[in-house]
Amino acid sequence: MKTRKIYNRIAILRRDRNLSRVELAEAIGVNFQTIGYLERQDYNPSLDLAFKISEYFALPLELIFSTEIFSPLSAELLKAQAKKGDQNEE
Amino acid sequence: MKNSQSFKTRRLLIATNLIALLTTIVFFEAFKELLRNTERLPLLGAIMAALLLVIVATYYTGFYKTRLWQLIHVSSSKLDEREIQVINTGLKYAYAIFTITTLAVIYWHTITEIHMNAITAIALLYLAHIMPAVTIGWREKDIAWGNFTPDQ
Repeated sequence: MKTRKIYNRIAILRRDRNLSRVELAEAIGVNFQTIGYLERQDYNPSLDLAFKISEYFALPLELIFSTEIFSPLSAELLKAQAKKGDQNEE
Repeated sequence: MKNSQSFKTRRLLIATNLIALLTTIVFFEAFKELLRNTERLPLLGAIMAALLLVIVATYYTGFYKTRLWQLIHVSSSKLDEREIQVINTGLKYAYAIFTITTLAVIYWHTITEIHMNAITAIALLYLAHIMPAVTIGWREKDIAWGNFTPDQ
């Protein structure tokens, strides 16, 4: 069975929290090299591992993982700001 | 934590180990009659010893020191899901390669009507033992060295 590639924001979130790969790996119970594989999108995590990561970062699953390429966070922030501005004008 | 051995070096050690093993079998099979000749025994014995030394040295540096061999003997509870997947794939390839090799050896001995010698039998046992480590070491760029304690 051919599986879809799962994109993620693990690398950004890890750097944002100032964590090393080893620290994140220890926190979610995997090998530090697995974090590297996940960050490079070379490995699709199981649902259990995806939930562990989501719980660790205290963020919804869909914010960390996607089947489509994520747009940069800055672009999304600008989009959200523009949307908020539109709502305020209304 | 990380092993400094590069992917290319690891592949080179694995290839050298297998080539030395094959050369030992071929050499023993070709010159086993001459080994009974006491005059030529020191030279042939020295060549055999050198080949065995290469096998032992490449096994030690390529499989034992890197803990590659131990990796396939670790309980799955000590591994994460990606490592289990890597080992399962390695075992699948190892099974296929070893089966084909063993069948080829059996057929060759049947066709040529030559009895299998002790060196070939020992080499097959050795191959069965290291083949999963060979396939993992050959295919995987990063091996999870040192993050587990091999089972006693």
